[in-house]
Amino acid sequence: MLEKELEKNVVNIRAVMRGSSDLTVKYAKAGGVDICVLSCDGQIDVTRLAELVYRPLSEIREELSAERLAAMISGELLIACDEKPVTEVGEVIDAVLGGFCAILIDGCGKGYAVGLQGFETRSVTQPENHRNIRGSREGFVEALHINMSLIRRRVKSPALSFRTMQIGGVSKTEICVCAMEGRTDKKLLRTVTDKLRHLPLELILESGFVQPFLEKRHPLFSEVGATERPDTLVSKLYEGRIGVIIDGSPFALYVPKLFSENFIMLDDYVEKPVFAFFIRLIRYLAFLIAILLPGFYAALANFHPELIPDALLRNLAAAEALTPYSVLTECVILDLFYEIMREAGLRLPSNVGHAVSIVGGIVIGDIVVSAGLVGAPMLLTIAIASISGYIVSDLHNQISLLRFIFIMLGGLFGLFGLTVGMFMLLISVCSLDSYGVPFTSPLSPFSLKGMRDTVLRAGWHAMSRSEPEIYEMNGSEVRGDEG
Amino acid sequence: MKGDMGYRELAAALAVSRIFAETAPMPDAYRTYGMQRFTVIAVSFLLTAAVYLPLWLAMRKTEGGLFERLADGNKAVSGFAGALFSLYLLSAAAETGLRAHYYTSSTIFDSAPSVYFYVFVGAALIFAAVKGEEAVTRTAVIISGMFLLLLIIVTVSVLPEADTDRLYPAFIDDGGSFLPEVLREFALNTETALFAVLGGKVREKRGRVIPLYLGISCAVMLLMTFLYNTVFGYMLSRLTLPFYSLSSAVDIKIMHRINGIDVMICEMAGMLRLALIVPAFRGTVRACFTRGKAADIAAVVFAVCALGLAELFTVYPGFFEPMKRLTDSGLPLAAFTAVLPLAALLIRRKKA
Repeated sequence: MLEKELEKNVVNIRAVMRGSSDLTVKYAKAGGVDICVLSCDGQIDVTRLAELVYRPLSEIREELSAERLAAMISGELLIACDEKPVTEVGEVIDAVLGGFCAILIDGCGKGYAVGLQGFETRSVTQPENHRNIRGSREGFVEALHINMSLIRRRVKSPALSFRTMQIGGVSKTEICVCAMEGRTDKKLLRTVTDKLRHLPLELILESGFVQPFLEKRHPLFSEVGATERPDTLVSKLYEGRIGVIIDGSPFALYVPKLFSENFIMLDDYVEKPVFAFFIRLIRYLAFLIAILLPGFYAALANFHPELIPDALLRNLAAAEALTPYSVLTECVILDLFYEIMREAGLRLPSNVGHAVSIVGGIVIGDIVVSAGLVGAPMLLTIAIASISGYIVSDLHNQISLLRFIFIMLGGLFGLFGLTVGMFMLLISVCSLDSYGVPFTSPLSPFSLKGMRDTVLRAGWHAMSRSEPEIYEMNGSEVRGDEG
Repeated sequence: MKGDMGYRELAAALAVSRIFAETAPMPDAYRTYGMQRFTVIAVSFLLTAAVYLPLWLAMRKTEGGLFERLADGNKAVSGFAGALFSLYLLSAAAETGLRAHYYTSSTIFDSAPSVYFYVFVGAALIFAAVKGEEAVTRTAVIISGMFLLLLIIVTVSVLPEADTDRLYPAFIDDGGSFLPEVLREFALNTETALFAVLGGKVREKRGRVIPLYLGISCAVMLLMTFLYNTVFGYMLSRLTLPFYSLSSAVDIKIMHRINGIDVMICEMAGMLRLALIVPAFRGTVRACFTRGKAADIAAVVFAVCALGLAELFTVYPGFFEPMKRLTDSGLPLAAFTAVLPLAALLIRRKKA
């Protein structure tokens, strides 16, 4: 509880804050009463603090009692602000650290917290990972409230609701659960909210910290989507999904997510349906090429040369005859080399990253072939597979791992190894459920309605007649599985 | 005991499983074609539909599979029937392993010892069993899509080679071989027996599973027979690997032939068939003998035994002959899809 004596309260607060230097304490007099304004340096907008708090308080000329001043502050002076009364030392500290300023009054056992959040934030810019050709250039930023406003600007309907809460024992990170009333399964909303509320983490710095607690423990795929784009999140919410925005992260999460969504981009909806269909087919094909092509090449070259056309086989044999390593060894070395280059290019500043790409891709690539260390066809195979992997950017990590596994299976056991690997991969993917919706739907279980926007993309005239909701994609009724 | 399996997924899984039996033959067995083959397929599927009727009647108004219903009526009868059914499933699993191995070793996996094959398939099987029947049936939808795509490519590619003059108006070419062939084809519909167990886990509309399965399988097999007859002609009416031979004729330019791809897809269908048989066995054990972990352990032992038997039959093919003669007669299948359901109906009526 707050004491009546102002100085005691300030001492208590300082003690709890361990004398932290970012705690700003400003003593003043208002209406003849001693007051103290507490804030956290860098968390509030000082101009608004002066305009909305200091100026009205300094303009009180008459002599007031502490109780009258408190009533005046809450009833008349601070009506333009997000304001709440505080009665506990802990409440004062939470408010101050959350970007509020706290006004404590001598002789009064309570204070007022005034929302003046005004910390420095990155401005809204184009997303780094989910770029599109047409459409909005806005991407999420780190500040939760800006992200919420980016969504609200796109849906000015009361059906869209935001529920904020604090998670993380130490970080006390603010998160926001968004959903659209009437489209979201209430049970799902409750499940997600409960999971977030009981998160066992003390420190949450990124949405990736929260993601594992919303998904099942699958070694490869995640049934929780992440996006940098507010328009993408809005479209997901409209389909009945639940969004989670985490303060400090420019990535919003959404559940449920389906496998086929990795192949859908926002640009598909502004193109003609037939072109969108073609592009989506290309993406599926690129995914298959990215994971299977090198393994297939190793299998055919090692075990089944009879499947390769004669002219091509002669060229391949001539190229391979000049190299000292087996096909499998070449394949593994090149794939690992590519992964090393990618990792180096990813972490370095962009200008240095380009240099790495040039040295790695052109110089080393050319030299290893001319020096006879690897065959040109193998280099080409890995290059095609790598470039194809970039097309489905959301699955890049999975593609890297799967490609390596299939190289080993194809190189060691031929097409039979690939067959067993593919079978196990299919079983593994098909076993996933994303909050009651099969991860592979609407491909399997097959849903004709869901297929209108999977590989195919129906025209807006058809889609506007009845928008498919996520729970219609499991081939039957809502199942209410809580994931 | 309603499950979470969709009826369309189970129908697709059963159809894929049946088509595997069509594409992958038994070691050194010839498949006869000609006009009679159309009639054999049609009659065998009609026969399957006929013997399915009692099963449909027995499972119509109850939840769970046939054996749950039997166990409700009489524990001793269900235990005895369950034991016999388990033996039948073991034979079907061993036969599937044998077919899959023969198909693979004759085509894309010729140089490796058979034990490698069974170890790999066993690993995939255990993985599938852990992931559950629902994952298996969903996988079946994707494999059936792959097979359909392959079939379209093969059909479009070989159609210029097809000569419809090779078709002639006849239903039965050889009266002596007609009935054994019909029975052999009928006996290959083990999927109806699998439905007796797995059907209990279908979420809704389970009455549609077998009609869908029969329709899809029959249509695909008739199409394949049409292609064999019109492309290969009468002179090649006996083949060991008919579908492989057909896909050998396809040249899609990127690859010289696509008969490695067809083996891959058919092998996946074979593993899928095994992956359906194992949960069917586990379901039988759960309904007739014991629930919980013991049923899971029994399923693992069953899978190991089935693949071990398949390996034994690979090395000593003669051992499988007596069992094959019995299953080819169609009697075990008829017993489990017609006689047993009728018994279940009778027991229930008597109890009521």
